Amino acid sequence: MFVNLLLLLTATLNVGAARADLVRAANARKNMTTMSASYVQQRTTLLSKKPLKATGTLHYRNEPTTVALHVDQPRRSLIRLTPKLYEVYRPKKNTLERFELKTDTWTTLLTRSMSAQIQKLEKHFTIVSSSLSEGPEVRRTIVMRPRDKKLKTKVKELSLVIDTKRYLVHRLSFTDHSGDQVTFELRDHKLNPKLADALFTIPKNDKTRVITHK
Amino acid sequence: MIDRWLHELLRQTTRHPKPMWAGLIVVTLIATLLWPRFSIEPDVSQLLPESNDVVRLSRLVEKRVDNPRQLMVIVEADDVASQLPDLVERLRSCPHLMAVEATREEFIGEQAAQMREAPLYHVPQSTRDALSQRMREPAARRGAIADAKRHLADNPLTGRDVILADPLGLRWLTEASVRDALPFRLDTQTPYVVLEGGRRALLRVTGREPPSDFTYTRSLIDDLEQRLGSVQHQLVGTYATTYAHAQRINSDLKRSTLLTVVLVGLFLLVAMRRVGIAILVLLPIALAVYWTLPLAGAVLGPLTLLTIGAAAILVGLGVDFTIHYLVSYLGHRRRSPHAQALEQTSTTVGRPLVASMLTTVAAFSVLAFAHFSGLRVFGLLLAAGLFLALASTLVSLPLLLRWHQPRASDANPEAEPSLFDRFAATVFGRGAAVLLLVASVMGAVFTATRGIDFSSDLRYLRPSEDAVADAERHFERQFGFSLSPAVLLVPQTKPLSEVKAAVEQLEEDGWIAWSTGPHLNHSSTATNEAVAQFHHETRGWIAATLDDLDAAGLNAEPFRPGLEAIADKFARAPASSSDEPSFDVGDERYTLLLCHPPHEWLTQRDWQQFIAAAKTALGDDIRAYHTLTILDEIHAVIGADMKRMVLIAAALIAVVLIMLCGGPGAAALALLPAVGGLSITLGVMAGFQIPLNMGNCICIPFLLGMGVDGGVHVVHRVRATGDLRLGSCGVAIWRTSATSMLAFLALASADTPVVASIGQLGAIGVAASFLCCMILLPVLLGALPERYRPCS
Repeated sequence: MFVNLLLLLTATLNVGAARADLVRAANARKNMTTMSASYVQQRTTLLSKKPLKATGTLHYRNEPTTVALHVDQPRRSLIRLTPKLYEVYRPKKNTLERFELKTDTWTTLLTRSMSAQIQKLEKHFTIVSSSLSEGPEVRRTIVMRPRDKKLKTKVKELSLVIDTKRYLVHRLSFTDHSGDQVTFELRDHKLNPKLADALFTIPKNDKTRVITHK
Repeated sequence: MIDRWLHELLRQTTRHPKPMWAGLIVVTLIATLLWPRFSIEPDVSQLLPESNDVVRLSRLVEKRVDNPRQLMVIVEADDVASQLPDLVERLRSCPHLMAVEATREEFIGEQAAQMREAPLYHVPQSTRDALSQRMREPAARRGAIADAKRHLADNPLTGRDVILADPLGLRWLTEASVRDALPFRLDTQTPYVVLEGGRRALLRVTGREPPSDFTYTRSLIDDLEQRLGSVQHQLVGTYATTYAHAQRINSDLKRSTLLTVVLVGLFLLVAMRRVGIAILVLLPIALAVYWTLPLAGAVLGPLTLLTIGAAAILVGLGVDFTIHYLVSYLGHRRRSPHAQALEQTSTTVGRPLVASMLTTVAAFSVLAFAHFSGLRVFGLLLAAGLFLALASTLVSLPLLLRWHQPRASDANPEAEPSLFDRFAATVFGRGAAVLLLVASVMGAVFTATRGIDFSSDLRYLRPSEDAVADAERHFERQFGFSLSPAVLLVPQTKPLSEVKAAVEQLEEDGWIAWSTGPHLNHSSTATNEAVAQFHHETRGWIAATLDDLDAAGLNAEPFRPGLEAIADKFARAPASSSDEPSFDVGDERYTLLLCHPPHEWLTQRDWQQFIAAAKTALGDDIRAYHTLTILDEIHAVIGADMKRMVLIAAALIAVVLIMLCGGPGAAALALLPAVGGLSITLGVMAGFQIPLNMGNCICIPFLLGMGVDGGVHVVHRVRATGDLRLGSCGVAIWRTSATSMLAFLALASADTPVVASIGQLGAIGVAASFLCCMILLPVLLGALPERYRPCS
């Protein structure tokens, strides 16, 4: 019983520490308007016998809120996320697949993880566990689960790894409704770089074939 | 007896001013109360009786086809696609709109649904071949699966759902058919209807009420303008046309009336040299116009397009009464005191004024027998207006003369006529009279031999420089089709395969740019065979795909439901043509097609050529409907009406003249200026190939009625005095003709071509009648042996 109490106390203390780190992270990003990082994306899914990997560069900007993934591997692509639209552009095939978003769940999840609004994640997610890992720098892993049923139909779990010095996100991982786990490992962070509009824009081309999913 | 009765009546008006004032005030108050209800109906189809076959067909078509209730909004901006979502949202919140369509799918509507429902039947053979190849050839299949795997790897949010539903990427092959279903080239980067280049977008909005409901149309257009705000845009469609049409009607009515008052006022000022007298001439007629329009509107219902000209014509014709009255009064005033001069005026001008009013009213009233309500309402309105103008003259002018008594020195009636009297007495005058006679005879011969065209072209309803017409032409250039489609009704007994082939032929020949209808959903035997061949070629594709998925390192089984859904969709047959609702006209059942031409048909010639081509392609038993059909029907109804109206008008005028001029000989002389003027006018039209239209055709009975006025006054003067000189009567005729001409010239300045044409023809006709009255009639009277001259 004592052990259980100790574990509960430790867990409570960890959750409190995680919450405090989220506040610190938010403060650290107060003046952040843009961010770039290279990434490795890994999807673990029942559809594939092996995890699937993709690499590229992630660009984020506050105004207008946009996340752009410039994919290098397995093929060059541009993936763009705004509060209302999610677009996948394949330059080689000259195709654009557009998804009109009914809710801004994904945008909220990704942009809040990157921005000064990180502490607001708690509005939709409950912190279920937190742990510190030692290494060249101390990093905190925070695991969160959605609060409401509606959100649970889209995301089962969200996990963030942030360092306790600059409070940058080094890993963002979520498990979607089907059980697929998608993990972004972020490196070479650049805070407030000058990002051209072109990085967040799908190139104009009259011959591009477009499919819109509503 | 008529003289005595008239004299007594007119004497009462001069002797009892108080009841007369009270009467004037009561009528003016009633008119003031009715003015807010005054309106002009811009919809020309309302001019025909509801029982008319074409009108009934048009009502049926309106119920079934949304086209008249659709308005195209062309939006222009840099990167217009980015502005569209907000703009569309703003438009969708408009309470006057039933629908706002902005995307390609929304534009092609049911056709898009059909394409999605049974895609194999709607894609071209090349697409079926590409689909078949992707599904059956292992290399193509494996390539697509590798692509899907990459998609799953790099698309973090929707990758899974997309490849589960379509691991072979077949959606890219079938989507092309939806994209190519519109007749213009689009920016493919956006789902909205944005033209290549990304600067122009097209939105289609559907209103709740028909455009003929003008109050609604005005609210809709005003609301849309507000919602579109600073975005550069153009509105094209029936609502915009109706709105512009109504604005133009309003401006034409105001401008022509104001211009008439100004021109006539200036003329009277110059002719009578006294501001007070000019006001005395105009004021009773202004009152009559002020009474007539709202009273007629209340009794006859919404007034028609032709009514625009009514105010100007009434001012022009009505001042005839006040001029004759005042000229006569001033003549008597030179010799007698005011009260005596008033009584003498009533005695001398009462009869000719009533006669000229009755002849003109007779000409106008016969229009009441017309089937074409445009003529009927216009004729009745003018008849009522003239009656009120005379009543106002006889009641208010004596009262006004009490208030402002002209000096005896104001009377100078002999100055102008002496010119005509002297001219008529010279060789040149007689030569001019012979020329006028020859011109009249030639005019009649020309008209009888060459005939006059009657045109019911659309271009008479709106000016070619009109902003809406410009926007429509701009739209046609940009999008390659006109927004005014022909509705073709093809008997349902005709197989859709033949209909489809015929429409394709019409498209190939350039008659149609784009069409919609059940023929688009029809699958030909060749298509059915091609689809069967497709299914034969792709047998076993699901199992093969599952194997390939497995070989590509994917777990195949989760993909099975998606593949089966695709197979199910490809197996679906299109909706049967028997599912299409028919268009019933009486017992006949038709298939309804909407055919958009590349350019709007503006003339009956264009329309008739299209009908001929459509009948060649689809058979003689088709029925066709277009705005020009209504105008063509108006043409037919007016044609029949006009013959009857002119004959009745001539007969009525003859009867009135015989009664009031003292016999058929005098009546024939009184008719001479009208008949001569009309012959010359029609001769000019026949010679210069000026067509009649639904506006200027009303001038024919009008010119008969108006032209006879001068003749009546001249004959009356000769009867009364035995003097062949025109004297003060000539002054009055010159002034009344000049004011009528000025009114018609003011009307000729109208923007609405059909109204301007009334002004042009009226001005020519009045000028010709004036010359016949001032030159031909006096010379003829002088040439007649004395026993044949009119005498009392």
